[in-house]
Amino acid sequence: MLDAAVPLIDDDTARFIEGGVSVSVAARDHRLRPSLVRACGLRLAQDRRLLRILVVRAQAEPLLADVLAHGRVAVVLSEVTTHRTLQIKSMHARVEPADAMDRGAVEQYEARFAAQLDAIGYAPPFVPSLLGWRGAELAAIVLQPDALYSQTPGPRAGVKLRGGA
Amino acid sequence: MSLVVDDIRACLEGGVPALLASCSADGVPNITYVSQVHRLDAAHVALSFQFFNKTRENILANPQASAEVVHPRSAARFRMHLRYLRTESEGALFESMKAKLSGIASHTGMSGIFRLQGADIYQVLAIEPVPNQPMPLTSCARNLLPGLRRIAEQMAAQTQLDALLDTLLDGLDSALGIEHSMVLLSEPGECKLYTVATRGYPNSGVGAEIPFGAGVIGVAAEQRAPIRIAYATAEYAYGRAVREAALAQGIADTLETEIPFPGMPAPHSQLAVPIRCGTDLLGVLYVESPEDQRFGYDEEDALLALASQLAVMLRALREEAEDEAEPAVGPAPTLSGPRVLTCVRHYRADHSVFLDGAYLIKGVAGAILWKLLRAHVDEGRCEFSNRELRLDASLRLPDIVDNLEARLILLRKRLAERSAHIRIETAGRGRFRLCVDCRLQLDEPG
Repeated sequence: MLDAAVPLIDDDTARFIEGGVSVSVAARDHRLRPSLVRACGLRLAQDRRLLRILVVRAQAEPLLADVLAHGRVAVVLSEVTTHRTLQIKSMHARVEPADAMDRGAVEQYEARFAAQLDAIGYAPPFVPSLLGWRGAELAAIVLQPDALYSQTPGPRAGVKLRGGA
Repeated sequence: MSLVVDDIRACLEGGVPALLASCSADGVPNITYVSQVHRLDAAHVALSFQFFNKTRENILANPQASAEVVHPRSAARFRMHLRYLRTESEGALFESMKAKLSGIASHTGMSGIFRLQGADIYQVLAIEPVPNQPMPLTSCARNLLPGLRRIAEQMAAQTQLDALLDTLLDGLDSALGIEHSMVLLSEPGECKLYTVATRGYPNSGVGAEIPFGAGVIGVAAEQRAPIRIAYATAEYAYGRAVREAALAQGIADTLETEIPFPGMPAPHSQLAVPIRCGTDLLGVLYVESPEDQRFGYDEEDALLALASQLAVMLRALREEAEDEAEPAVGPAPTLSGPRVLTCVRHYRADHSVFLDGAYLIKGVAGAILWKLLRAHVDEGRCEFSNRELRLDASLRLPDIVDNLEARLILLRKRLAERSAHIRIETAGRGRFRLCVDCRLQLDEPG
């Protein structure tokens, strides 16, 4: 049973999530066709119960429609320097307009992610181009994590870490 | 205009891992990284299947998938709508992806963890650009077509096999900037290749042999498919792989092992393309580089085009050589001055030939040399034709020797490298001359 008093995201996971990891999100439509988009940042609530995945609206139109209609999402977070990878699933995600704090979080995320990619040989201008968020309208996919899975390549890939039925 | 796979193939070199979204039969989406998206054709890709995971379960139950790929230099992103068709776990596609994955694994510190279980083939339903802010590509990818044209024209002007091979390898260097290259040939029915021309190495390595299945060269030959690796990987090194493949092919006893393979000990980029004529494999054209990611899809295209031209010309030259006249028997040239004695020893078991105790060559080329030297000593002959060699039952050549001329080139080059007194030079089309500037003592134990 999921203990409502303890958030799924512990200290270590929170540090990982906020460390400039690569973030992408998937949803699906009523015909079970998957949609996906690379995110341009994220924000973890102070109590770690809610996660806001920030996307460029123009890059994410089909996915945002799918989230609005069905609410089911999968988020993959990967540290490019170590390959440590985590997948978060949520059954009840919603879409909100991004606010000023979200834009601030994207700015911080961009710098951290650029430092990670710089370490594996991608010069810093790569990340702003990749994310392409400046001057664009952003949206927030707001979710409460239901389950966490390890996706770090290797024999334990796919193992459920916490949560779920 | 709708995009096809060829429009985005720079995104499929494995630089930035791709993302793949799938969905279970009960509607739960899943998203994961994929190490390799491989171009199959304009409308199909193959994704590396490495682990039995949720994605695998999902695509088997619901074949709909979406992927996002990134251009490694401009950061342009593309979304692909996919439908899973089938998985291949052996054959040319599988081996090509396995080799590429080995390089990716080695480069990303994942050797021993990334292992290809299968090549998942997907139909590409649509490709759309993701509106991000890609960088302009200031240093455009080199246009290989002018260089390709120049090499093709120069090759077309050649009428001799050795000049044709040299023209090709010189052209790769001068017109395409590929400094390290070699041509290896094979006979029909054989499961090994012999090196006949090389460029860019301290030792020519002509005569070195590679069994099918060993390294990218041996795999390209076995699968008759291009094999390309973008990063240094120990998994495809020669050495142990050659011994193991020779044992597996049952040719450990006959494989040339005295002449070391000339290639780099640890190349970063490797590309081997088959030289095919119809369904026959004639050989492999191989290039390598100390740089990462030196060879992309464009270089693969260029080399395959050149290999096709080479295949046709190899066949044409062989047929011309078949048609030439009977040999002229000439007297031994008169040589002046003191003549040293060279002791030539021939072992019938494997046709190995030693000059003054030093190994020269074995196999078909060894048998040919012995035949020539015997004719020279016993009958005073110097001029020979390819045709008489081909028809000579005493040589016990393999039933089909497609590339007799190539064996003669190999022999000529080995003699040039190893003997100051015996050489072979061409004497017109399909004819050659044995020049001996020493006294010969022929010895055939047993």
